[in-house]
Amino acid sequence: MKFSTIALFSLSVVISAVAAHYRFHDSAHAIGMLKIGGGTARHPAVLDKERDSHVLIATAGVVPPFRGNARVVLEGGRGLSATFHNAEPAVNLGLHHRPEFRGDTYYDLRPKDRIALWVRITRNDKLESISSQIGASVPAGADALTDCPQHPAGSGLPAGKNRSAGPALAFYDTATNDRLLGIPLRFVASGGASHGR
Amino acid sequence: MAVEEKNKAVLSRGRTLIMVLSLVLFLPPLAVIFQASSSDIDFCGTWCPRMFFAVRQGAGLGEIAGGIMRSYLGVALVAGVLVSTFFFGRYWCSHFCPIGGAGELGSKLTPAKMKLDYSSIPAAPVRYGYLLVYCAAPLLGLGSLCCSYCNFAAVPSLFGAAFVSADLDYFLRFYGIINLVLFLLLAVLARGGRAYCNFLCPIGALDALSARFGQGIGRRVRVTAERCTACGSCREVCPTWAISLESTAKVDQLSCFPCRKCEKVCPEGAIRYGKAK
Repeated sequence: MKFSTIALFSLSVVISAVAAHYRFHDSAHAIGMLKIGGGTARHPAVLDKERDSHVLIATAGVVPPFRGNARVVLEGGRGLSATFHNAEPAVNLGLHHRPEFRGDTYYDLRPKDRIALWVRITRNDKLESISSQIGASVPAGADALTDCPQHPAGSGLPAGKNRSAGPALAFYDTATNDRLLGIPLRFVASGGASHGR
Repeated sequence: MAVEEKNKAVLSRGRTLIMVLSLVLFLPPLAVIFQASSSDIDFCGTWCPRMFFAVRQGAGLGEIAGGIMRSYLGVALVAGVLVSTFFFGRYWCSHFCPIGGAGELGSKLTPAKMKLDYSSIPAAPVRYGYLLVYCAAPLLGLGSLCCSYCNFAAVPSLFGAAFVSADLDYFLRFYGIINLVLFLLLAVLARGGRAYCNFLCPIGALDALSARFGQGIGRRVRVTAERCTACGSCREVCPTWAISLESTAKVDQLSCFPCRKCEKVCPEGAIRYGKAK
């Protein structure tokens, strides 16, 4: 074998290893399962605590026998808000059942469905600071992390179960308010190696 | 011979059409294959052909089996690709892969002056160095290349970004930008459009091994040494720089896929697709 081949192979290994090891924590991907009793993610989502905005990609399959609607909340901390974008076909051909996503809720989830949700997370630190200075409260909806799992007023349902400490992206059954899936969020220093440890 | 001629007519002349059809079937806005078979809209899910062989450190049999079941259509796709390649060569890579096809078709639209030529870089050492890390890094707990550097996620998002917010979000982060740049540099702006396939595709790397192992049994692009004059016409058109010139042209089965451009341009008829004689 030629020396140049060995050198190129070694170089490729080194560069690839560095690329695999170093992670940009402005985004993370978590895979989980929505199921009765509470599904878990394959690993926590790790994000950069120094950044003001992040993208979290959450993909999950629906495990039988769950069927119904699931509300999505970003819970367990303060100072962040989120917007949700469900991954949908550009042109829906209607060939396969697909749950509908409106606002923060998936409707008509069925066993074996699969969801892919893109969550844009933004810090509200400045908003909170200004609000405290002027003595006003943070507007409702600006902070998605407070007092979760919230439930629409007047529903009469108990507070959600299986709540965990720390920030998490959580999916709740709208009928029972039971948690179907919790994806822990870990905010770490800029860049680095950790990937779901 | 008659069968080979018929194959040549359909798969060689109709290759561009097949690649375009593959884009329509696999990529947004229609993504027919995914919409018809599952609730997925792209390769990220049931059809993921890559994640199942990037096993994490400490993963038990249950997690490995779960990964295979979660992307069972992707597993079936890879198995089918490897088996078909063993007997017929890398037709998935050359004709049917929508991601490789998107790069090559994009390259065709790029002016020749703008194209980058990577053919001086031997592809196999780069590819297998990457594949080694792809498999070993998660196993050793060093990190992962899977998902972060995935053109099977980037290219569908590129096609869907004009239609769907989630696809646009893909590019609002470092990995989205990196994958976009890699796709542009190694596919759209690359001469032949296949540098990404040649360097960084884990499936292409496995597929190439299948092609190599099956070369004594299956059909491949081959050079008839007695006819070859080593004129180099074939090397000029090869998108994967798989042909080297010595006293005659030689085809590296680790990089070759049967696009059969070389067969078309050979003035001596020295290149054929078929079994070893």
